[in-house]
Amino acid sequence: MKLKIVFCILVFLGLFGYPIVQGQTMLVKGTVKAGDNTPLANVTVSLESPKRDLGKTGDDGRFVVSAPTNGVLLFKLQGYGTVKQTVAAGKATYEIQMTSTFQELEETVVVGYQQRKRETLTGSVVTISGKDIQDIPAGNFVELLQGKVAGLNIQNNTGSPGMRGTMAIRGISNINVSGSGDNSFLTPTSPLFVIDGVPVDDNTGYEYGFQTAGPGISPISMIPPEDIQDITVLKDAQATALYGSRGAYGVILVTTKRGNSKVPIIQYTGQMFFNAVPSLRQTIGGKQERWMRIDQIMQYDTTFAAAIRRINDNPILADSLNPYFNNSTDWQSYFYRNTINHSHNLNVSGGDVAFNYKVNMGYFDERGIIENTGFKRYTIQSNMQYMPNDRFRLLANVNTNMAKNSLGSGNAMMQTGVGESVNTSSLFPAPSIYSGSMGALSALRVLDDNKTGNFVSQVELQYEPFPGLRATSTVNFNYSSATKDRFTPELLNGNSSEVYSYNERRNKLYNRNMLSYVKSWMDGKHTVNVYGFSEMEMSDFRSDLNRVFGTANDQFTTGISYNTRLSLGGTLNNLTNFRSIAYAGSVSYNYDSKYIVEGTYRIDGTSTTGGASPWSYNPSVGLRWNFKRESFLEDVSWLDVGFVRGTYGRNITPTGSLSDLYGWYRIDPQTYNNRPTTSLDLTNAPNIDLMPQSSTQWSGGLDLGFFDSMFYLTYETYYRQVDQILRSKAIANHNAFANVLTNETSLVNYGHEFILSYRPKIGNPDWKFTFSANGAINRDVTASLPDGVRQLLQADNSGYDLPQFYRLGRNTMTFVLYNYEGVFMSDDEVPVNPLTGLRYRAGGTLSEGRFFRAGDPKFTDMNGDYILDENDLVYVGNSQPMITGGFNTFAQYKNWSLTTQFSFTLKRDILNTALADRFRNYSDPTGANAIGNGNNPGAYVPLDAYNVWRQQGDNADYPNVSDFTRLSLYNPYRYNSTMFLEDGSYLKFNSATLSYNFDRKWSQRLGVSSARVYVTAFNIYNFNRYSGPDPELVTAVGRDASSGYPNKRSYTFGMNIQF
Amino acid sequence: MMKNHTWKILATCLLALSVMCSCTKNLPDDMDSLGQDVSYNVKEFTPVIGRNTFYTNILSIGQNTSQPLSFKIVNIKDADGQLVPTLFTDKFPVKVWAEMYDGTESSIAAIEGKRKTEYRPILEILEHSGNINFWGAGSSAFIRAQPDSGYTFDVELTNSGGRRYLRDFKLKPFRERPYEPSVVDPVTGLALLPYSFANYAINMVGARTRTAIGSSAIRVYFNKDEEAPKDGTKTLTISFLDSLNKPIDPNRFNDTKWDELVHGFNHRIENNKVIYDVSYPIPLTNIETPYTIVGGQYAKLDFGYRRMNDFGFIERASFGLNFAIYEEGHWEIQFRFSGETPLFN
Repeated sequence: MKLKIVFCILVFLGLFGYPIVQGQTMLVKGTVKAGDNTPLANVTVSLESPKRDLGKTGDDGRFVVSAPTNGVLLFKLQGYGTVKQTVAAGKATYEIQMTSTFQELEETVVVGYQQRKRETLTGSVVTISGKDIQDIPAGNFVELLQGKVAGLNIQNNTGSPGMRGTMAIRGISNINVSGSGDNSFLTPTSPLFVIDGVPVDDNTGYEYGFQTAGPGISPISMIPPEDIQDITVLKDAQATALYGSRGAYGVILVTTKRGNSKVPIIQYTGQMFFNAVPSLRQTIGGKQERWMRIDQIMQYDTTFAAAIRRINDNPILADSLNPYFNNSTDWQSYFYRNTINHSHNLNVSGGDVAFNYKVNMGYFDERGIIENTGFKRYTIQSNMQYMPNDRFRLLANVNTNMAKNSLGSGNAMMQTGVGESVNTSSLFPAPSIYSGSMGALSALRVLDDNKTGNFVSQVELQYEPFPGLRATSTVNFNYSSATKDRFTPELLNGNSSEVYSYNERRNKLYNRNMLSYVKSWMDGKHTVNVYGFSEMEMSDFRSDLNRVFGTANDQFTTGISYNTRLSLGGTLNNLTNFRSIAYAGSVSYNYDSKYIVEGTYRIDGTSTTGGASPWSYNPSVGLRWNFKRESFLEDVSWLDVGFVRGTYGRNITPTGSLSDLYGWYRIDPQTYNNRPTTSLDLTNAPNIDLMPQSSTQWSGGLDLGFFDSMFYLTYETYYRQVDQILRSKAIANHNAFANVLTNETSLVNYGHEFILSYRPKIGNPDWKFTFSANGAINRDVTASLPDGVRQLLQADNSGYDLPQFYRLGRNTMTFVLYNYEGVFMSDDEVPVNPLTGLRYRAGGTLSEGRFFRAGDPKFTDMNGDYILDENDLVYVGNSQPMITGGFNTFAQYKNWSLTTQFSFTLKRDILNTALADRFRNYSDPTGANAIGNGNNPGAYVPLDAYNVWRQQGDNADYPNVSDFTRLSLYNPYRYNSTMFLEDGSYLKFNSATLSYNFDRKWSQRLGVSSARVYVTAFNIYNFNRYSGPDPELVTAVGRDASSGYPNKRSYTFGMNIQF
Repeated sequence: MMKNHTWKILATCLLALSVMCSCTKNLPDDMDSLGQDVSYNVKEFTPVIGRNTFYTNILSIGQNTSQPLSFKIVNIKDADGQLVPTLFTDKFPVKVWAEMYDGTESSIAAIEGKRKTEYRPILEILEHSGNINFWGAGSSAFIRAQPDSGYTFDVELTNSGGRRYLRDFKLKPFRERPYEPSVVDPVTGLALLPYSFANYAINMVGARTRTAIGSSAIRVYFNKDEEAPKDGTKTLTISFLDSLNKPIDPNRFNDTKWDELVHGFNHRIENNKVIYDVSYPIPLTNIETPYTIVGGQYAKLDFGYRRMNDFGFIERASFGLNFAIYEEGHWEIQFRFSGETPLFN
């Protein structure tokens, strides 16, 4: 009650602030309810004339405002029709009923930098409320969008705190794979993020994270999810057309919260979360492992004497009482841990239409489930808007964010040190200085300290010189800087400590000037909206790295004294300096919200486009027909919404760099007359004909709402052609240069998307239930390759021998594997070459051990020459998921509510190379080879879990692992075989949140206007048929690498308190 | 009426959307690629008539071509450019392996049980590997042998991506040389000498001069007994003649492992000749067994005896021959000590 009084006083004070007070004011109160009688919170109550905010409803739907008699009150809430209520003299209590416009047609959304009514959009646009993701703590909010948007495929394939997995809208946009073997990466093609109207390209901060240098924290990780008002995903070319440069991969708009309450609101969100280690890989320990190794030698060595000698020569097997070898170390337990973490967020906002402000302060601290990793974020995000009248508006944002993370001895994507260490024989002692397992120790003891700072400031001015014509100018400056300091003590680095000191800075200046004109006539039946803008961006990036070796001792962790002869330092060659300028225009015509036609045109010039044709021209067209508004459908009561839309458009994304266009000079390794010389870098020939990557998309959609929005169905289909993909191709060696970059590669994505929601009408107002599901079918096809060839095999020059295979008309990511048919049950099953009388054998020089025998894998001899070699490879599978989607439910009973979220990925093939790694450990039962190479012998997988061949006549799934003297000759556990190709489909129970809203009456006794507590479980369970631990934890090219960072399972206790 | 309209509209919309989907028909088909990067390392084949010659590893396929490919030999022409109608399409009986041969077979029946007769063209290309076989079933009676320019042919390769021809392969067979080491000139078919020589002779001395007998003093004659009864068994006979062309009793080579000398069975000594029941060709295939040299290309013979040398030591004297016989029949290998007879004791 007290608070109500305070509230009223504040409202009064607010009113006195105005110079003009309208006649007689009175206190008006009441309740706002939805059609099903549930109270509606946060409904904005405002006065129609003069326009001003009066207040908001509380959680119980009540409001108390002061209004002039005969004034008109407006009640507004997203998703509901605006209600007008005239204040009658003498009547102070009003019951307001608002009706849901569920599909949110009235809602506005900013598309193409213009506020647009959803009803008038021709493109494909999906909006997610910030509320939907705020109950789960996350270092990077993108992972929470999984399964929420049809056609947005997110695979959370790294659990590294603050990092995000792969994402793609409507399929992949690039077929280039860099790296080799286990470290093959698909060129990331994340959508463009536009944060409060300013584009942020998330691919740049990220691409360096996994290979070299930096901390790998992208600007997207710097946004606290609590500060997000909503997220809008633009999928088709029409919607993204005006984002032109870099819009080709789709656009995700993020709007942060704004102040919108006369009474300042202070909102605190606190989360305590417990991260648990998910299921890990199984291994054999201790004595059992030793006996398995000894048994294996006794059975499979060439002779009995050799076996005995081999065992006796290797103390790891023979000297079982030696404490160094007499262990059963659970290596995984030293690297994986459960952690308790927390996050706090305070949001202060207030103001009215004329002036409002928001300050959001956030703190997020997550310790990774791998030792020595973690992510901390400190953020201050603030904005304010000043709008003294309808014709002038000033909006300013200042965001300052700082992140601190530690990657241990790994990088943003991979934890190679940990991956190798957990794959260590259990016979060895636990990591310690004495035991000398340096890889393990460095994962645990390396001091890795990364800091990323991001400063964003933005000012937007809007002025309307005369009605309809509006001029807007936006200036944004974004500065980010990151440092990495890693110190490796001398013990771990061959008696010479290493200081790794990296810093990078990125500047971006962005400016947009827009002129728009809206004209409507005949009572708004005809509306024309014309606008044009110019857009300019200047950005530069540079990073420096110093590697200093041999500090005086381990207490000196910076380069104060060091061995100068070994130390390196300088600027890395990924420095960029980028400029782009664009002119864009848009015209749209709207007839009675029934027929809508719009067209845009954008001219883009970027500094990474070759001088031969610096500009690219990108048109788009969109049509929409709201057929429900046709007179003949007006009486059809079961159909509430019906419209169809179709779009066409083209976008570009600048690729490559200045050096690709004009070449590099480099310092030669040799000198001339003792002077350094420079020469052209001959790796890539300069090519000034390079063009930006372009994406042309046709898209269509149909929306239907039935039975008063109980069912709502959206269907969309698209055909997207990505052309001019930058790709390097080798050129004949009589040229001075080895390669040239060209734009000859193309791919096509096409598919269908479905969204269905169901809101049953339940008679009992205490209950509320909604269900929504979405799914997308996407196929990608290689459409063009350099030099007009039909097929290209990009060799993988690593032991994995997993080349990239591209063929026109086929899915872009195909595996090239030997076809595994099972095991030879007996020697007689091995086919014999009728010409020579020799058995089928593995390729390479002829040797007895290469002939297949019982227990060996049966790989198909495709060309029938009885030799298994690269001519027998087959092209199989698709590492890109064909079907992705998710569904979620929301149930509410009185103050309790339960939200669940599921996501699924179907029709995807993954290669379990981690299992291959484990089986391959059996090739070295004494561990002598590994020790010879300076490694510890690998762990043994329990064979009981797999149907492995053991004796003549066994019909097994996996071939003999034990014949170690021959394993290297015929290589049964080669990575490139269909033995390890598995179905990567899964259904994931992403999260469940149970929350309780305290009664307002009760909470007000504590001086709190509303309070809510909740518990969330995240990453709950993954239903799949995959034999590895997690089918999602695979690289973008579909390989389950041993050294991935597992995804945590987290349990959160959180609360929201509003004062 | 209203309802009808609704459905019409929905149908129109769906039709419009499905038209969009049909864009995909302009996409390239997923068919195999047949690039320019398939080539043979060998384009001139010079097999010897009467022997099975298998050309493997003669093909290189680059990154732009999808496997498996299908290969076919077409356009076989003779030196005059005339198409050869049936010679290389007619099929001849040849022996192929049904089971693995490893040298441990203990009877002729066991060996023959592992082989079977198939009918194959003399010049054959394996359908998917592109390997080329020249089977030994032919004869220079109807195959043009060098010095004739032989034949030319093309190889047709196909996969679902198309068809391409690799042209101007040459087949220039040599006339038969039924055994190795051969004394016959491969081109003319004429022999300068009627014999060849043993491969080695160790510690052997002549009975007359007590000087060393070199391997060139041991002449090797390969004789085929054309009149032997054709009862199905094939034999290999080994005999020794001294310097006066008188037979030497094989038992005098007393340190010879007669059982393991050749992969033959039922060895017996008749008329101072050692006779084995064998299967031809010898060696049976190109595989290393106890009866062959390293690599398995030739069978090896080793004859030894022990004698006391001039210094009172017992030492082993021996000589040997690496050989191959490609033609079936009753063959005799005769060793003649041309200079002097070896001294056995």
